[in-house]
Amino acid sequence: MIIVGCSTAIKEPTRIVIKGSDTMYMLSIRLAAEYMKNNRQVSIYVYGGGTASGFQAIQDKSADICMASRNVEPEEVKLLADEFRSIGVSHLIAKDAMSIYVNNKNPIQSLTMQQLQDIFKCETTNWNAFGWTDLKISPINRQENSGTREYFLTHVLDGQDYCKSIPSALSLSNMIQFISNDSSAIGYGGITYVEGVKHININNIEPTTENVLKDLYPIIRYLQFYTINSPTGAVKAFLDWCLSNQAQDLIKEMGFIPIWDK
Amino acid sequence: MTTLYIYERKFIKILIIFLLFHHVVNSMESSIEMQNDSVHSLNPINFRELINILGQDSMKGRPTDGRIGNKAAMVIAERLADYGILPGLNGSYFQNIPLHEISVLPESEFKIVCNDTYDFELSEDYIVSSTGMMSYLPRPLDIVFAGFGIFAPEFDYNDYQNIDVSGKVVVLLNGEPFSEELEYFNGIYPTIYSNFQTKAKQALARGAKACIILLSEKDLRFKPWANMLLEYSLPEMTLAQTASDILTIIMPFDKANHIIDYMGVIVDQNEFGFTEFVDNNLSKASFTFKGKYADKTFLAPNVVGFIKGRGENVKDEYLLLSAHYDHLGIGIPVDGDSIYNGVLDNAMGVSALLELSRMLNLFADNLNRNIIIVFTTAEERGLLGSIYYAQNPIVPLYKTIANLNIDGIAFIDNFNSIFGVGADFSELQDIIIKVTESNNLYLEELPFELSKVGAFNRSDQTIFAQAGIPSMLVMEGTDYANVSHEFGFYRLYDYMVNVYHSPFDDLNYMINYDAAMQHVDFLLNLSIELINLEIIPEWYEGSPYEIERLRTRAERR
Repeated sequence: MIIVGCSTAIKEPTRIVIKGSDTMYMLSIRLAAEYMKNNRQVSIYVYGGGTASGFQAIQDKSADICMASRNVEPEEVKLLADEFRSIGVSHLIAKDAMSIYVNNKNPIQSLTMQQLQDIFKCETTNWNAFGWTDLKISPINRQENSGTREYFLTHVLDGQDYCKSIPSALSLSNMIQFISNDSSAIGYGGITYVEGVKHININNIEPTTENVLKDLYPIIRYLQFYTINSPTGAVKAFLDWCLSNQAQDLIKEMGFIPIWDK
Repeated sequence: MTTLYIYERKFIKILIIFLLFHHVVNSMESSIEMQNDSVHSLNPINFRELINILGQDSMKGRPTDGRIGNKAAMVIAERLADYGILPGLNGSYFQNIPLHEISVLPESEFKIVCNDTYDFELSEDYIVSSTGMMSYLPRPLDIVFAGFGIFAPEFDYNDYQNIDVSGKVVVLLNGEPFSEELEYFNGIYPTIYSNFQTKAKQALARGAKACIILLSEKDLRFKPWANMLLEYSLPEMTLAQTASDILTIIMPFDKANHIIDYMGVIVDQNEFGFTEFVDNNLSKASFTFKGKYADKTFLAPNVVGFIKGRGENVKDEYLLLSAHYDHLGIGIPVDGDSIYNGVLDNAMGVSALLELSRMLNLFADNLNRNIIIVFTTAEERGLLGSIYYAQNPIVPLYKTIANLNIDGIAFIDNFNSIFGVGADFSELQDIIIKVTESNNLYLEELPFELSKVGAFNRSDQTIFAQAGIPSMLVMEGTDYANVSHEFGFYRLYDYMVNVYHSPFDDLNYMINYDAAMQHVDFLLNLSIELINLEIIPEWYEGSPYEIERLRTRAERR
């Protein structure tokens, strides 16, 4: 006799809505697609818009799961607590290194955390300060709703404000497009996005899986799903699957770092 | 067992003194003749061999770490296989649990600015009870004082009334309002509101970004700072799926009293702890915390076996037997010994459950229900293995008729009485009374003091109860067969104060194996009784766990 695990076999057609982080958007699409292949009664919709929009969506119940590239803010928890008497549940899905993107023509190989700070506070404004040509630096930010933007502000700018003149991209793909079209541009995002941009090192440490696992790379974060309460039913089944071998292999395939080694 | 808090150690000492006098007064009434005519062939050699294997230094204290600790898991799984007990999960004995472990590094910068800038050093000045998922708070945040940080509507008490803590750091007093009336905050016994985690979550629910909890002189008398450092020397560990949390810093009051003064807060304290406080709201102080961490995510397993009942009237129901196999690993050396072997806690419990399982499997033809056997991991790190099982049960929770958890086995002397911790919440009470009587024992009433310090909440049975499963822990009572009560209490006191959660809980510790086997034999009889019940035990009406049972039944989960 083999015990079948007490999993939630979904019999009725079920819809799950996931919203939030642009960093996690493609990853979640792939996870959803893979899951649906073997769970034909489940239909999963994924929307980007930034981590903050994801928290808003679970609060107003337009989404079941928030994709988050940063920790939940206490102010967001308060809204959940006021409305649902819950402080929310975090589900770690993957690790990510926050990478610095420059144009492919940019010869700079590495910047320090202080140099990055100076760029995004507009205290260093020309690439010649780093040994390149006389060219004004064009930093670009992520949009206001972005968890990545918030994470960068906290961990790279040490909580100090961005320079107000820095434009904000409408989305991650918008940022990548901007950088790939402008040799003076610099931005940031997850390590998986490589088409059209070059990743540079921080403190001469390359943003690789190995350096993340060894805690050498200085900007590492967890990618998370958030739910209002401990999940049940179809949502639980999907989230549990995201920690399975199959899902973690997919996460690795997409360039993120699985949260555990097999 | 999870770590005892300051107030629990005090009450353990009071309890021991109380029990000594209690028994002297009542000894004339108790039935102390004990017979053991069991026909079961529990194997004491097996039992001791397993204890020796699990408690030896090469097991490195059976930590939950995804590596060294897995060695113990392998031993357990191999034994289950040897005994012919089926794997619990689709051909595997291992229910792998994703865990996240975080250590705060000394390079972390914790500053408070008021009339001056104060830098605080980890361990010297503060410890971190929770990192709040590796909080990094570089922007100065206002600090607000919020008394004990308690919102307790049942006592009409709210420290947060008229205080806005959203986006701020709250500084709180450890403990709760003092009372001698049981009806108000449980009198002199602590309630859940004294718990650090409860205070932190109440602050988080109001939007606080971090909290600082100050310890009184009384707190530090019962648990000196050096002991606090020992208790918090292990990294924080959570499930990969876990409730939101905030940075929670614990400090002695005298490390922060100049800041409290600056803010205009006046606090009184006496031998019972903090008593009164007034916040005159004079000046603002600000807080930054640039945490530096080392963290890792890994898998560690619960070990799960399954025995299928093959009795004539077998039902699609399950008895859950459990014991935690983890302990504290390698820690701060004491007298040169850094391996926290955990022989009593809980190598003996694991060995008992393995021996029980072997016997029950032999009896499977006579069992009318099935048995799920779970050896949990990470019990010492916050009952995480049982929490994970309850969230991911192998069989439906509503079909799990009861849980018998094993955390500690008799070691002092053969006994005439037992405690059924948690039995009084449910009809398990009737069952355990029946089995004690048939074993010529009696059920000793759990002393009020022990119930008030939450004996039931100290191990995995509380998690299974919160999942709706009637649960209990059986401990030997204090009516010993051969030794005097004074000697028995001396041994108990020695264990609780000098051995528990120390490197001295090892194979050199004096254990009465006859007493241990008597305990295992009792557990076997109790298990068989539970498995073959005609009617399953229910929670008593009004039990705090009844409603979850009703939910799992309704939802068929």
